[in-house]
Amino acid sequence: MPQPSLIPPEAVFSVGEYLDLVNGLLQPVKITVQGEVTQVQERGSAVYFTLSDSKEKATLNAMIWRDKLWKSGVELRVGEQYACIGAGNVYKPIGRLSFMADTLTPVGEGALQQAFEKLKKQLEQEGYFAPQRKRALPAFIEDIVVLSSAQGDAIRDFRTHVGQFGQKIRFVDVRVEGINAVDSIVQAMNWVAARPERPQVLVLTRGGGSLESLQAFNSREVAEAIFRCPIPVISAVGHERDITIADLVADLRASTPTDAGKILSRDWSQAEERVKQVQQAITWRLESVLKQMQEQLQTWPQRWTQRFASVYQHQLSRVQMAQSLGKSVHLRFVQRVEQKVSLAEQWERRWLEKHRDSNLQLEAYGTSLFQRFGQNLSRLQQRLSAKQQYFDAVSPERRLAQGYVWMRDESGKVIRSVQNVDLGEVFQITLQDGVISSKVDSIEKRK
Amino acid sequence: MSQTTQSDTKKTTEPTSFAEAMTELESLNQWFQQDDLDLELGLEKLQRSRELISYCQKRLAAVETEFLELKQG
Repeated sequence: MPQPSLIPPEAVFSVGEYLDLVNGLLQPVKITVQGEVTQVQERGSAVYFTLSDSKEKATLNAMIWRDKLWKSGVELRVGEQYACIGAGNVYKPIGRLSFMADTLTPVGEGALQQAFEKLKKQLEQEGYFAPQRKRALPAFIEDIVVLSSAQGDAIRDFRTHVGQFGQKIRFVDVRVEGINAVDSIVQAMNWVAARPERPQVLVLTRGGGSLESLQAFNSREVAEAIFRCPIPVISAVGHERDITIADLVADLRASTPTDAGKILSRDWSQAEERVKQVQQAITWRLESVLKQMQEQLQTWPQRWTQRFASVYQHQLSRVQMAQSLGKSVHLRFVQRVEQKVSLAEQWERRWLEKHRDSNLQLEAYGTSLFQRFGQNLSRLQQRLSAKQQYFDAVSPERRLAQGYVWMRDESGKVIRSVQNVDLGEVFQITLQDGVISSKVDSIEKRK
Repeated sequence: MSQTTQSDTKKTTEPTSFAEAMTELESLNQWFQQDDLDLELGLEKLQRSRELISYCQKRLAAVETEFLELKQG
C-alpha cells in the first residue's frame, strides 16, 4: 500500500485500488463516534444501524457484529444516544462508507446504568459471581502484580498502604479509561497469566470516577479476563460506593486502592505479634508441664519415706513380738530397706542419663529436683542408720553376749516371773551359744 | 506415632516461605496445647519451633518492599 504522500500526482488508480487505499487509511484509526441511533436492522450475523446528528443534519451508516454487540451488553434502541468505538470502511461493491463498530456504550448515566444492570444480570446467570468459584487469598502474600495507570493516584495509594514487609511488587502500566482501556487491561492480564513467574495475587485498581469513566471495568471483556485468570484477583476500582462488574467477578473486592493495600499488609502487620504469642504459648505450656512433673516428683521421696516407715514399723512389731527369731529377721529387714534405697538410686541415675542430652531448662529443673530427691534419700538413709544402731543396742543377741539368758517353759513360753514356774518343773535356758535343760529346785520370791 | 514421623521429616527442612513457616509453627503450637503432652517429643518439637521462630523473625526484619515495573514484551 503506497503512502499517500509518496503517490505522484500523475498516478492513476482503478476504483478498487483507490477504495483499498482509502480503507487502508481508515481502518487502523480507532475512533469514538457519538450519535443517536435512528434505524436498526439485523441481518444474519450483523446488525446494521444508522447514527444521526440532528444538529448538523449528518448521518452515518454503521455496522456491528452480533457477538460484539452481545459482548458490549448493550441493547440498541432507536432514539437513544450511543458512543461507538470502531473505524470507517468503504464497502467496495456499492461504494458506501460504513462505520464498523467494535463496542457500543450508551451515553448518559441512566443509559449506562441500564447497560450495567443488563450485563450484571447476564453474568450472574452465567455463574461469573458464584461464591463457590471465588478463590481464597493465601496468607502472607509475598508476590503481587498490580495493574493500574502509572499516572493515576491509585498506584500511589496502594503502595503507601501495602507497607514495607519485604514483599515483591510487580507493576504493569495499563490504560484504565478511554477507548483503549478494555484492550489494554485484557492484554496485560493475559500477559501476566502467561509469564513463567507466577505471582500469588493480581490487583486490578484505579481511582474513583463517573460511571462512564469506569466503563472498562463494567465490560464483559474485562469480566471474562478476570474469570479466566489463573491466579486470584483483587479488584479495587473507584470509591467505596462504586461497585463494578470487575468487583463482582473478582475473587475479592477491595473498596479502594488504599483498602487493597491494607488487605495485603494485614497478615504482615500482625505477624511479629503472632510469632511472639506462639513463642510465649509454647514456653508457658512447657513450663506448666515441667512444673506439674516437678510437683509429682517431689511427692515421690515422701511416698518412699512413708513406705519405708510403714515397712519398718511392720518389721519392728514383728521383731518385738517374736524376739526369739532375732538376728535373721532383723538382717533380712535391713537388706530389704537397702535394696529399696539402691533401686531408687539406680532409677535416679537412669533418669539423669536419659535426659543428659536435652539442652533444655528441663535438665536444670530435673537436676535440681533430683538433688532434692537425693537429699531426701540421704536423710532417709540417716534415719535408717539410727534405727539400725537402736536395733543393735536392743537386739537379743547382744544381750545374750553380755551374759543375759532366756528361760522358756516346756511349751516354749518365756518365763518372766517366779510365779510362772512350779517346783520340779523342767525349763530351757538359752545362752549365747546353746541351750541348757534344767529343773526348778527351789523358788524364792524377791521381797 | 505419625506426629513423631512428621517431626522427624521436617526437622532439618528450611521453610520455603514465611506462610509455610507460620503454618507449621501454628500447628506445633496446637500440638503443645494438647492435654497429655509427651515431654520427650515436646523437646524435639521445641527445637523445631525455635528454628521456625528464628526464621520468621529474620524474615520480618527484612522490611524493604521491592517495587518493579514490568514492560510487556
